[in-house]
Amino acid sequence: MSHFQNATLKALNAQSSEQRSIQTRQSQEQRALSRTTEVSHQDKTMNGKTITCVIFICLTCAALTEGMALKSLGTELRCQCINKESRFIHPKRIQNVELFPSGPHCGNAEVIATMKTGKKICLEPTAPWVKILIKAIMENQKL
Amino acid sequence: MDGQDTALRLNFEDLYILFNFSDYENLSGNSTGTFLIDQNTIICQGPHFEPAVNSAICVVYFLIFLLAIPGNIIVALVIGYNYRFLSPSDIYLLHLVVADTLYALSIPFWAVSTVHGWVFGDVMCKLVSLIQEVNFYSSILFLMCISIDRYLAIVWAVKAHRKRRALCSWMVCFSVWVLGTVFSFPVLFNDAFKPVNSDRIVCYEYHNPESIDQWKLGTRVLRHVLGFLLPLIVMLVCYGVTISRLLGTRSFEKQKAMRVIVAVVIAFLLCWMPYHLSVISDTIIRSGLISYSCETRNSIDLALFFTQSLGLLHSCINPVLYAFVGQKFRRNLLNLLYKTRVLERSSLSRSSRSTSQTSEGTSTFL
Repeated sequence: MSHFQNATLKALNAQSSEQRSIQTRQSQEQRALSRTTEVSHQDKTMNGKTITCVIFICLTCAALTEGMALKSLGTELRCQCINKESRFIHPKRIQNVELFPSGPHCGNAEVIATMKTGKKICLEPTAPWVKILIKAIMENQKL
Repeated sequence: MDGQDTALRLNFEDLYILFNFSDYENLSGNSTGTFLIDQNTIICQGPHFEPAVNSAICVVYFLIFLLAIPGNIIVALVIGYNYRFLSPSDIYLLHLVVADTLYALSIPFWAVSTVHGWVFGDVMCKLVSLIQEVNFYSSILFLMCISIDRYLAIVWAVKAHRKRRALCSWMVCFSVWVLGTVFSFPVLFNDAFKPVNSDRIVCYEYHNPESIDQWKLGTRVLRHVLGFLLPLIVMLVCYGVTISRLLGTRSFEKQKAMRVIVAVVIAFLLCWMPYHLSVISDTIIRSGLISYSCETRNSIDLALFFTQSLGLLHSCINPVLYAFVGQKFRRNLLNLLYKTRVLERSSLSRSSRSTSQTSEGTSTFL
């Protein structure tokens, strides 16, 4: 119970725009509710709607508080590289080089250099100087 | 299976040593001047959402779930309540509702995974994917069966012996479930794992890197043909002929039935056409037939995501269309509510009521 209270408090402190959208949604639901009750059978729908509302609010809170850690949207797994660099890049400009083995995300291995500027660049694995890098990485791994 | 693949790294110091002793002069060649980064070679990361947007998506998924479950259950109850007067269409509708309910049961898992990644483990990944896939196929095949039955009932006025017709439709239902399960087997290759370039666990196809492309192409062709094109063609032909026949009549009831038919086809198209179109465009860029930019790929990713949600929505739209739009269903629902109330007030006089409807017609609900 305390978790939910906690979550509710956190959600209350969260952005007010989301808060407003929840409120409008709730009021919409309530309007819809009053419309249905006019037609027939108040008590049953009342209970059902209240439970639905409570579940909905709990879920919203859970989603709002715990959704902050998200990085990216994972619908499709893909290769990281589209175009690859074959030109030689002077090592002093490079911070490190990573070799990503092929896997379910991508059918071919990818070589990615992180520049001193922080930019990550794809290297062409068949370029001569990249081949030397790959060999070195593999040997480095064995040690 | 998770976390086994990690990138192998080489740091700057190693690099420097490496190239001091290698044929550096040869390699540097003509590029002694300043090196300008080609923007196209920068790695392409998937589309990023604000956490608030992601939470909103999660909430929308739960809303679809909360709409789909009661809607489908109400329809199932009303059909089940009239079980003695079921036409073949009603039987298909009942199974459709079951398929949609099961399909909707998988939605909360995806809702949570949009926020946290796949946290339910390997077995659940296979199970949830299988349930979703089986019911995706069955649901669409049942829509197809309903269209065939409408066609037979209205255009050919088929009125076989009721028992034989019912038995026949139950057999059709059984084969639809079997077919749906068979079509879904590729989904058993799904696995919960952590891709090298991601910090979250995903529930995704896990194949050998060499055979990924063939597998993807094969399963996608299966999905497009059996999960969309075939049902669409059958529905268009059956409903097209039915409507042209109905247009000839002046019957007000039949004109109304036509409205439901049009709504059904439009809903099916609106919910599934965008998804299949984006999957086709994804297949094209994956095949490498055309060159594309990171932006194009990311917009396709976004399109895939949102059109997939649209497909989820279909599971809660069906009961609304097939049942709540049809007048007979509303009458039956009120009837059911009225009777359960009578049951509450005076449980003794239960059996004294006689059911007034006899559905010699084509369907109780459409």
